[in-house]
Amino acid sequence: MTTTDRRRLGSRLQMARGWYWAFGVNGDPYAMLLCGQDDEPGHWYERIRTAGAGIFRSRCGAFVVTRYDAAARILDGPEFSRAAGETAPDWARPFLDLRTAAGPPPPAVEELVPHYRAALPGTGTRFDLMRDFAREVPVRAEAARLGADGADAEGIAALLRSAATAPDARLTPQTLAVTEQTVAALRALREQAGAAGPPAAAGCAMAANTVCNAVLATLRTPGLAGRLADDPDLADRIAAETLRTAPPAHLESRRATAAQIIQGTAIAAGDEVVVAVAAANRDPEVFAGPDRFDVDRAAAPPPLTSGLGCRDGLDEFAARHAAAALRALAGTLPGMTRTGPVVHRRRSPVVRGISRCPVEI
Amino acid sequence: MRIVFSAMTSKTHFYPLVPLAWACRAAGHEVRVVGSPGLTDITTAAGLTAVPVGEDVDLVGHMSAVGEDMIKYVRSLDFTDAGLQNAGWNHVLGMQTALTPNLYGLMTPDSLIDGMVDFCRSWQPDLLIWEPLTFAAPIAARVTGAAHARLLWGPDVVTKSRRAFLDLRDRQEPEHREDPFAEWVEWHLDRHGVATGRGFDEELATGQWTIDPVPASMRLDLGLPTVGMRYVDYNGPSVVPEWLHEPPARRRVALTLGVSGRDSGVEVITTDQILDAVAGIDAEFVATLDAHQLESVAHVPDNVRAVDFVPMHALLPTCDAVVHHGGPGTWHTAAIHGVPQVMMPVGWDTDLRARGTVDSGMGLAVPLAELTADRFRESVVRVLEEAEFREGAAKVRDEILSEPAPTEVVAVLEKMTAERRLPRP
Repeated sequence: MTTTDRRRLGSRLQMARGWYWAFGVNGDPYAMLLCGQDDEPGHWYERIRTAGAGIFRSRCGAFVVTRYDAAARILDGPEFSRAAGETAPDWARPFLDLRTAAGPPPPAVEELVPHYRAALPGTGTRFDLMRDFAREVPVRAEAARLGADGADAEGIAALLRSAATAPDARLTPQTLAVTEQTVAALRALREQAGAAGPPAAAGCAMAANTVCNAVLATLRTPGLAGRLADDPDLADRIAAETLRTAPPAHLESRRATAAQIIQGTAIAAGDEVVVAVAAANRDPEVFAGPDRFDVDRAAAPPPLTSGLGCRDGLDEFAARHAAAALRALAGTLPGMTRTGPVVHRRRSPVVRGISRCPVEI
Repeated sequence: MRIVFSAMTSKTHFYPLVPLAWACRAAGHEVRVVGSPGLTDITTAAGLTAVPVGEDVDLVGHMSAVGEDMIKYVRSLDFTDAGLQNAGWNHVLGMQTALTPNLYGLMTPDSLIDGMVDFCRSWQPDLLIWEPLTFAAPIAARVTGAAHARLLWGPDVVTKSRRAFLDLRDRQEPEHREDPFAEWVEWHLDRHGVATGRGFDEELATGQWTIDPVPASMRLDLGLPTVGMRYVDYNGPSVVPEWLHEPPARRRVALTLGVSGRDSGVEVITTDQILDAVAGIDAEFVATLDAHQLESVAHVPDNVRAVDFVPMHALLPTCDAVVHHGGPGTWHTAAIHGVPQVMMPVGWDTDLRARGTVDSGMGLAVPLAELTADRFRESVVRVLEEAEFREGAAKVRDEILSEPAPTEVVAVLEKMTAERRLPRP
């Protein structure tokens, strides 16, 4: 990239983010959500949900859907496509096809459990749940798989880590340095691992956060760590409830392929509709006590996922990793405590990335 | 010395540079005004030598895309101590995030930076003097090793908001300490080959020193090396109309209507309402109204003289009061002539200027949100009738006159430049 291209890209990233910020301060909750300055996005989802009848239209251009029924129809129906239109902003283009190829095949939970057991330090140690555990297992497993033909697995692992912001970079501008790093990593992954490289990077980022979120929810929910220790099979239900409350991708962008009316709002062909998956999964008309982490929910519909209707398997990939990590940790979690604040990444409205999560066993 | 003066394409931003540029010229220094092509005619009309570089900013395109959003956002900003202290990290980071591309980067386009750097590499100035939003100048100074100083035209809200940002940034988690302004400057320094270690520092935001024409008691205390300078009015090419030769028959009030309900984004009174509000006050109101504004006026009261343009430095010495929207040119020109003021601040630095106006006793301020015809009339009458305002205005005038004139500042610039300019290769 020449220095002229660099500053052009930098300007485009800064300009878009500056607009989003101004829109947000002027009262647009989706714009503020895209800026990604909060640890918890719930209040923005709530403001979008209550913004008025019909579907909220953000000053950023997208319609934003938070109701479960409308979200399910958009994700699973034929009238919407994951393919981005030509109107996508130029800064987002390197990331548009991130999830158009098939993702990594979701591994069997029982095959993953030994990897998580091996990554777990001994009792009495302090470590970072994200950096040392949740991020490393998916990255190493995928690097080994992608590098099976002899390619440099360490090198691929480093690229998978470097491309972790790609799902977020598709919807919201990152800094120039992070954008350059992510674009370079995706390019190298394509060269070294082919079309399977970029979706694997997205899958690893989604899995790492889902593992972390599942563990944190278990630690936070009274009695749950003890129940899991007694019954490791509970891991599947904890993973499922994590998928509902903290889905691997909070936002999923689709394009309308035909004009239609949804929730009383006219959508034109080509319009961008963003499904706030995490908000739809907390739709109070569908889920009782939607903010409660409850592994014993009866008769609730299945949580929506970003891959619904465009099955690349990444949500399932993340869920299997979470279930495997919980099984590996089942005996350990009653003795695990957090030793510092969970630091959330900024500009991460899609995967809601966690940077740091210090714990002690 | 060789001295570059630089401003964005705006008379408001360029005019305050002119008296110092002329003082440098008169002292025998070489002076060039480097700016986008749109600044050329404004520069040559001031009798200075223009160096147009790059291309003009596509302001129309930008304004039609997000102009109203940005105006609304900027109007929401509160640069007072209380406003910034209560604001929190997201607010002060937001200012850097939104203003860097939409104001600083917009008004200092890439082509101005490149052109400024190229010209400075060739002409080798010793010193660049820039108005506080034209960051092409400090970048070119850093690239070429020249000294550089800012010349303010009002309360230094850019530095004040940046200080609030820097203070809070140090308290954030390391992962969250981003700096959009530094990021922007750095990719330009990088492009122009500035060696690592000479990259971004705060000097590029503030200048190596600051030349400040604001009365000392109203300056923001930001701890920057500051050279006070007497404000000297330059209102552009000026012709004194004949009617202004005669002493006024009764009290006179200058009325400039920079505010209109159309572009303010808030409910304010119309030009008609303002003119009706002053009807019957025992004074002659000289209202600057262009043809377009006059078209929208149903009735001009008997005590109002509508004029298209009159130089403020010729009009204001004949006035007992001035009513305006808080722009730096009108405010300073009134201040050095000791004329009491009624301000209708419209955001950015005008709120702080309004506060200084009220606190110093030199006038009154009516925030747009509180502006009604009655409140407007009452404020004008008070400023005309109550002697305290004339006394307050006289004190501020004396304060400004006690500062060194631009001609005296030139020697300071020579000394500071010699100390700060890097040796030429």
